[in-house]
Amino acid sequence: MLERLLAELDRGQTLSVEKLALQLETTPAMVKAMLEHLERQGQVATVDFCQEMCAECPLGSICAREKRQRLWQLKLDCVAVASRPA
Amino acid sequence: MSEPYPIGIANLREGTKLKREIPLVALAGQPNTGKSTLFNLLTGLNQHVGNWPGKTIERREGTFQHNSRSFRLIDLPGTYSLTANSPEELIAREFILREQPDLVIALVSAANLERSLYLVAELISLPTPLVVALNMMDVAELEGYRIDVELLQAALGVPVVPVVATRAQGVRELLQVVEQVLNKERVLMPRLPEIRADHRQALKEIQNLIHGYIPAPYPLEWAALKLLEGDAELTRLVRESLPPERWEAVHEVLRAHDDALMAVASGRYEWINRILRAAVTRPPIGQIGLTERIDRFATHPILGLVILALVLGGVFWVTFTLGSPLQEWLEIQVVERLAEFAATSLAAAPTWLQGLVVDGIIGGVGSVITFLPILVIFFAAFGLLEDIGYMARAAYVMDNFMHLMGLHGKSFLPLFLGFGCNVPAVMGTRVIDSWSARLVTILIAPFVPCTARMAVVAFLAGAFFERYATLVSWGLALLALSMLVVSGVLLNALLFRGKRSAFIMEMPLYHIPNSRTIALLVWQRTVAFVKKAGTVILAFSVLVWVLSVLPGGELEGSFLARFGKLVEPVGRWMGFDWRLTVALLTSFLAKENAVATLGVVFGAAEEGGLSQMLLTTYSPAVALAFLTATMLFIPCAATLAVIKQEAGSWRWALVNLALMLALSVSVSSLVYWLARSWGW
Repeated sequence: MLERLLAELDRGQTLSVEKLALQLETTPAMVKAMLEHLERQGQVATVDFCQEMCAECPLGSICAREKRQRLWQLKLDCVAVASRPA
Repeated sequence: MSEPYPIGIANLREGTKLKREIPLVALAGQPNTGKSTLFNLLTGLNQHVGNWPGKTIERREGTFQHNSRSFRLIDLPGTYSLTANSPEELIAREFILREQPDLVIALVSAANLERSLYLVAELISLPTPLVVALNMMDVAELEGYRIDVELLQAALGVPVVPVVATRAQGVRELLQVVEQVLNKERVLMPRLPEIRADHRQALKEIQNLIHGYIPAPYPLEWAALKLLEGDAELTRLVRESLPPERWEAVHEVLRAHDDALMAVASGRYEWINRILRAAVTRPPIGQIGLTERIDRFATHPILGLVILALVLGGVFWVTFTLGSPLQEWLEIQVVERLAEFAATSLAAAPTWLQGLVVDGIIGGVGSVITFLPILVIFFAAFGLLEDIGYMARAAYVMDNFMHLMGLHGKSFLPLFLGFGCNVPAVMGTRVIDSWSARLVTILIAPFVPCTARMAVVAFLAGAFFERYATLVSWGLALLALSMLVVSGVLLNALLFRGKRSAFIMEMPLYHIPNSRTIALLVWQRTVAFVKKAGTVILAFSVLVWVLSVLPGGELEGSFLARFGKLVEPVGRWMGFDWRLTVALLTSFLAKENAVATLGVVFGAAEEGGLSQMLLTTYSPAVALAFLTATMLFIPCAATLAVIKQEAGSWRWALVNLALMLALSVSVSSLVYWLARSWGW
């Protein structure tokens, strides 16, 4: 399942967690769990979209863009198969 | 298709155990599953806290009694798995393997089984008896999950006890089961995760190669599996334990099965998925169901774009239906009357003072202030769309569309911020790793019509086109987005030829908007706008007025008119006279200045207001060209400064300036000539 997820990510498209769940015949929670797994392994990174920019924005404190959604990105230097320890 | 093979070391489950007078129980679990709560509940004051040997990670140990029997309890560090990714994971697995506790309680969150069963998938493969405590059952129930504990137990092959640690519910039952397992009154038949048979062959080869070389207490099959999985610590240990030629042979097998790195973890997730399908029922209707149903259309690659265009059209429709009458009322009832009052009050004052107040301040700032209702409706509409969860979908479909055009996946996020203001949009490009992709995004970000630009267009469209204002504004917004895509494609082809990177979004559930959040957003942005009107726009209105009366007091011979006539030849391509050309140029400092300048040069405070003056002065062809130019014109000074800051040089700021100026002039000229040829 993790391999299929990586294969989907390797196609370089923008996907939603929900669409990925449908494609992998599982739940969005399972997709998120796998993305977090890949994140711990360093293959996927979360995008801290608001962190730096919103700190400088005068509307940052009242922005409706709450921390309701997360975003992940496949790291450009990662291929679908991770490297073994030397 | 290869047959699956169980991952684990079930054959070692009956292996030797250390004999203890007081049973040792380890409490394992992922972070935030309520482990500390359960530990405190069981041990109370009978606990002590120290550090794990050689580490700064807290070690908590305690004792508790059940049925007059004492137990030692160790709280293992919170870990997501037993792979040596972190010191916590290393401590947890070394403790279980070396200390061989009599039993491990795996605390999992019933509200997030997908994540928390991964650790169980690893623990269940170890020889130590396992009991699963299903915590947070109350939260799971609140979220609509129905967990069939019997089925879950059967699927795992180990006891599962539902608990709510925060309320001490189910703890007695948990201890009862722990005791039964320790007394061997319950038989454990764990069902282990599986991997493919081609990896099973590799696993056997590795086992054969490392047999007799693996130091105690590491079980042979577990060590082989961890090698296959790429565990750094085990790899180091085995490499140090094996003769070089044997390690080379092991390494060969591992190299030939590089895909096993993911396959082992993948097998565990397949295992979790199967178990959950059998034992967990999710809410079939309600919020999640509604979100899925709406998203079938809202995130569809084609329909989603149509819906986005309709939503944008809807925002304009609401703006003009509600905002335009209010704007007109403000213009006639407030600005005009205020101007009359000021003129009367200053009748005895010098002419220049009367002109400054009436034409300069009230004419300039007053005209801008009249589109406050339009802005408020914009702010509220976008705040509402954001709050109900639609904006994430809009971003998603836009991104798919931009991908088709070859734009970078991460670019859409900052671009979407541009609808509020282009300054944070340009700054938001910092999330893009690739420099060339970031540069392209910086350069196209100002094409996104910001609220100020939209408000100016909305005001002028209302003045020029009255009942067609919605259609005109909507068309102009789509034109700006089309220009963004065209520019993106061109710049992408020139600057960015890198590999596209996958991007995964978590869509928030649709929900009822929070009126307080929206009200606060509208309030703060309105205050920011009023401050801008009272400072930048006020100062600029005064400056424009001064330039419009000096040196002789007549507008036609003023410095402003002289400057306007100097640049008028370019404006003529688009059908503009010097007044429109100057108004367009003054929008460089702040977009609203275009209206303020028109207010000053047309004497907006006079009867009929600016809207009426504009309508009677210009043909629809000129009006449409002016709106197009305003929509596509160069970014404001603040955005340009941020482009310089983010791109690192004025060169790119000037490239953006040239690009937008060229597009603005050429497209507006085309619009003007086309409109004229149609007799407008």
